[in-house]
Amino acid sequence: MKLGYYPGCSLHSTAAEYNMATEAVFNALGLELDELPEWNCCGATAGHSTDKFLALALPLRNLVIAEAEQQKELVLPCAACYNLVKGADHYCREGTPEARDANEELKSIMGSAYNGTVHVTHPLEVIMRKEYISKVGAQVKKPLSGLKLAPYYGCLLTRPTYVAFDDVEQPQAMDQLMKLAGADVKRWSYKTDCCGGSLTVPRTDVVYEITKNLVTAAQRAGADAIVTACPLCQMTLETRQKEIQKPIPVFFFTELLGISFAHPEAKKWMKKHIINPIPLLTSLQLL
Amino acid sequence: MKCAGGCPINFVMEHNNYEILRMIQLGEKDKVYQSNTPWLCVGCKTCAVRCPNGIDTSKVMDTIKMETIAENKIPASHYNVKLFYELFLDSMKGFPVIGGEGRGYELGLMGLYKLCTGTYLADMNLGKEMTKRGKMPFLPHNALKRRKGEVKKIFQRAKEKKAR
Ligand code: SF4
Repeated sequence: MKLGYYPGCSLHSTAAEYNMATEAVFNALGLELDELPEWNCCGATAGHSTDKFLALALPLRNLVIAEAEQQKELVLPCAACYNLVKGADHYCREGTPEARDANEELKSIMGSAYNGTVHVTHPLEVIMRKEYISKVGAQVKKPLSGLKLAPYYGCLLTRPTYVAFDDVEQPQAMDQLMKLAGADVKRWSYKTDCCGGSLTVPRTDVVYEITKNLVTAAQRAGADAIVTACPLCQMTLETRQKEIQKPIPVFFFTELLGISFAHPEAKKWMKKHIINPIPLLTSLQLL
Repeated sequence: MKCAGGCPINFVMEHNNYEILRMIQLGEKDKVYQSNTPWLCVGCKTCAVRCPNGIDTSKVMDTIKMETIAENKIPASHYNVKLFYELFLDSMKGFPVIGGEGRGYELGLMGLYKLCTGTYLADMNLGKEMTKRGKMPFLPHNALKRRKGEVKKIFQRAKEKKAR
């Protein structure tokens, strides 16, 4: 089956390994990701913090393209993009005055407006569907035995409620998926705390504090690595582990699935990490 | 308070998120503008999902940021956050000669931010490591071909709306 795909800026740059792994895992499950042509950046925090119109119009433009491409579903692996595009979709369906205005403007710019026919989704939500999760078990050739993980959802995957496909305060999807892949999943209290990603450049000092708290909490829970579903969380956690005595790797959930599927490209993804995960994986004979 | 209790940034905020709401009720506009709270809010929406009154406090923070910018009352200590937002959006509009309409351009953004703030050394090593791993493309993406100019027009409309 073919699904519309919106990688977002980071999957073409800072999170290239997430892009590769997601594609590989989806293919293994019989899914094809069809990248949206000429998509644009969703505007991220800079958009919604400074301009109400941009905050809607930028994500909406992508939905107009998705409709023109006759995509029924659009998969967004970046939690920030997912959150903004899902929000724009939500406001259009609700018919708020701001959404109607943005839609009218897009009609005059693009020739068509968004009609609210696309299901905006995240790879984690797709994989958790019955028809695909049932295939995961059969694909696991190299169970992630001994890999002690803290699943980290961050903020934008489950909040606000209209974007949530899992419990807002206690999401479980990644926990379940990683258990299915054979990992030793730890319980901890910080799985939905924000990583501070949007402040990582202008307020690095604050972000160092946040990541220190997160990583030490994961370590206290007994984890040797963190697993995420967002390129901004992954990047922030990997690059801001200052003052941590023993920095720990931060994986994307599709990378770990790929490893458990014994995907031949998995080593390539690992080489892109800033905190080298290869020693940990080889010590567990997973690579 | 469930909202501020879950706020991941409250440890550096001058005022808790609910205190800002109270200041708004009391009409203490200048106090709100001076506070570092909106500029540290990361929009994680923990407060929004927990508020028993259905208030999306993080949206209020966004509105405060917009108004502070519009009224030109932004305190110098928060200037870098605003600058980063602006450059981020600028980098999507494309650059003269090298182009790149519609998508983020990390290298250009970081270069400009460093030029504007004089923080040349911060993250230098990280930038090098990212480039080595092919995670920081040298040139911006020239992704809009058939639909060229659409994103620029969206920005143009945004500007017109603000001027109104
Ligand atoms: S949205 Fe902002 S104010 Fe609300 S909890 Fe998150 S950081 Fe705090």
